[in-house]
Amino acid sequence: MAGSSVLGVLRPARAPGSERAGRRHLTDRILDLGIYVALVVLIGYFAQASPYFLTQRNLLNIGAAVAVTGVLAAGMTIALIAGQLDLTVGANIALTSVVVAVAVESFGWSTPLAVLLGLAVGVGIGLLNSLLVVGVGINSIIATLAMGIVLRGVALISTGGQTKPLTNLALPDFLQLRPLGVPTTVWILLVVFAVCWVVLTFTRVGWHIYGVGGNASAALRAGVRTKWLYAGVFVTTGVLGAIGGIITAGTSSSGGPNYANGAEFDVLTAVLLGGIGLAGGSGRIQRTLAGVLVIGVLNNGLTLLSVNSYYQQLARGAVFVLAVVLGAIGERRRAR
Amino acid sequence: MTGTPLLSADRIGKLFGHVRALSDVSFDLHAGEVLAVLGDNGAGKSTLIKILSGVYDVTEGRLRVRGQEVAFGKPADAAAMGIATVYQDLALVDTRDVAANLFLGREFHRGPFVDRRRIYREAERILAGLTIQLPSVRVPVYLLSGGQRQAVAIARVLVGGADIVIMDEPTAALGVQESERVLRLVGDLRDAGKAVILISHNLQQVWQTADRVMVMHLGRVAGIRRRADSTVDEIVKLIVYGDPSASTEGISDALASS
Repeated sequence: MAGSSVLGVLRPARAPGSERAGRRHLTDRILDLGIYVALVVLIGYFAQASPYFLTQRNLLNIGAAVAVTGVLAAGMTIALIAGQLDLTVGANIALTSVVVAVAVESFGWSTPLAVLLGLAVGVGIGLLNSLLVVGVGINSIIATLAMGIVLRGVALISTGGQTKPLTNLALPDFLQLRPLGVPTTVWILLVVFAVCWVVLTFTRVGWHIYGVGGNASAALRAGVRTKWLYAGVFVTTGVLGAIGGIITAGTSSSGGPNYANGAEFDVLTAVLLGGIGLAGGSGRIQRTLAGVLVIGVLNNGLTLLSVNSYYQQLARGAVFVLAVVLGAIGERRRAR
Repeated sequence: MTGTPLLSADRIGKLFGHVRALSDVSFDLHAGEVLAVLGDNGAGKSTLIKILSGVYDVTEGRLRVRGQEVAFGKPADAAAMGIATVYQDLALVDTRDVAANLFLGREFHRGPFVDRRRIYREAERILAGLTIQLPSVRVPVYLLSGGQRQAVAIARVLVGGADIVIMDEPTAALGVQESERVLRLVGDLRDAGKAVILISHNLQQVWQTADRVMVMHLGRVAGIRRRADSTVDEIVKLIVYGDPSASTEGISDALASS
């Protein structure tokens, strides 16, 4: 595990004494800005195509629609920068939503207590993932893929496969609030990204996450406690997944063992659109937010224009392919 | 050399399960000297470096730093005792800029936050003192040339303020000119009062730079010689046979010129 990136992407050694030492190409800079340009172009297009698109209400709808994907994408960004991957997030949402619903409805717990329990489940999932990846030394793709199946199984068993309705509406009502006119879910999204941005950009832990993702053995030899760092990363993705599960339980007024099936796919699309490299050690979380918004704007705009949902599916797939292609180009340019 | 050695190994040994990698390794290292460690592949050089830099613990014997017995559980322990290692692979994070690499693991900070201004200012100050020019401390390392990367790796030692520097094959991947420059830098480290352990294959290069030469053979110390009191021929015999009295007709010339 140590020393290799999550997908085993090799960085070819650069020829010593290369001529372009110390300079960046214009192409690299344009690729860097690509996601923002895409966002502006999409917004511009939908704004002139639909009179409803730029209304405040619609923009906030977009924000609320991408809140869960966005929160997960923030976690996935941190994991990828650290050179890891967490594929339990979909199952995490399902299990957490079920746990919250069961705690409130079957155990009669208060909503704040149930939410705390949900967050604790997220911490537990993170610790289990850490145990497999850091303790046992299994590649994080395999470990979290397997854990995800296990977690969804637990969620299915604990509800007998049924969706558990929330009749106590404290959580749904809380998420319906609009402090300063902005939905709670959008606030959560913004706070999560702000905190992650501060941590990654301005803290030692953040710098060490980049270091460990860029060169795990170098970070270890520089005195970075890489195992604790990985554990912290998985606990973070676990907690962010749990926040996604709690939001899902609130907005759907239920806990469902089949919720967020394949959510990892949407999350990865957003993260890759933001240009977060699969090789680890690079990427900026504000670009992930832009990637999340591109997906949100695309879904919302296509719906406003009454585009057939089959074509929307096609558009989403095309965007994913585009994200992967751009990511590969960026990766190759960096490795040269 | 007089006084307490900066670093002292007393009959250290290392076993991996039943496999013995090192036995009975003893040597002293003083401030302001360059000790070259030579040996064929499998002689135990890498194991020794990893012990000194805290990657492996010792199975037998004692390690002392400034007279104080130490037990390294992790690289951070060795770093805390003032031992810095410049690895063959340079241990740089390609995706991060020069300043972040210089201060990786020991960033200036206020509470949990890095002190970016101080990091970039100090990075510029340190690199200004090197002979190798870098375009900027904000350039990611993947854009640098081989010599520039080497300079960053060596500058990390100065950042840490370590007084014991272990260099693992610093010139292995470099051309003739860049090798010369790096060896001059080794001399500079010595003049600055650092104790340098220089691991190498290349006897010619070591001969220009080292004060003493320690030859390893099959996990043991075959001999330690002051360069002034020894000859290339004797060192070659030690490397090949682990014994200075062995007959090496023909072989020594071939090796010495390689």
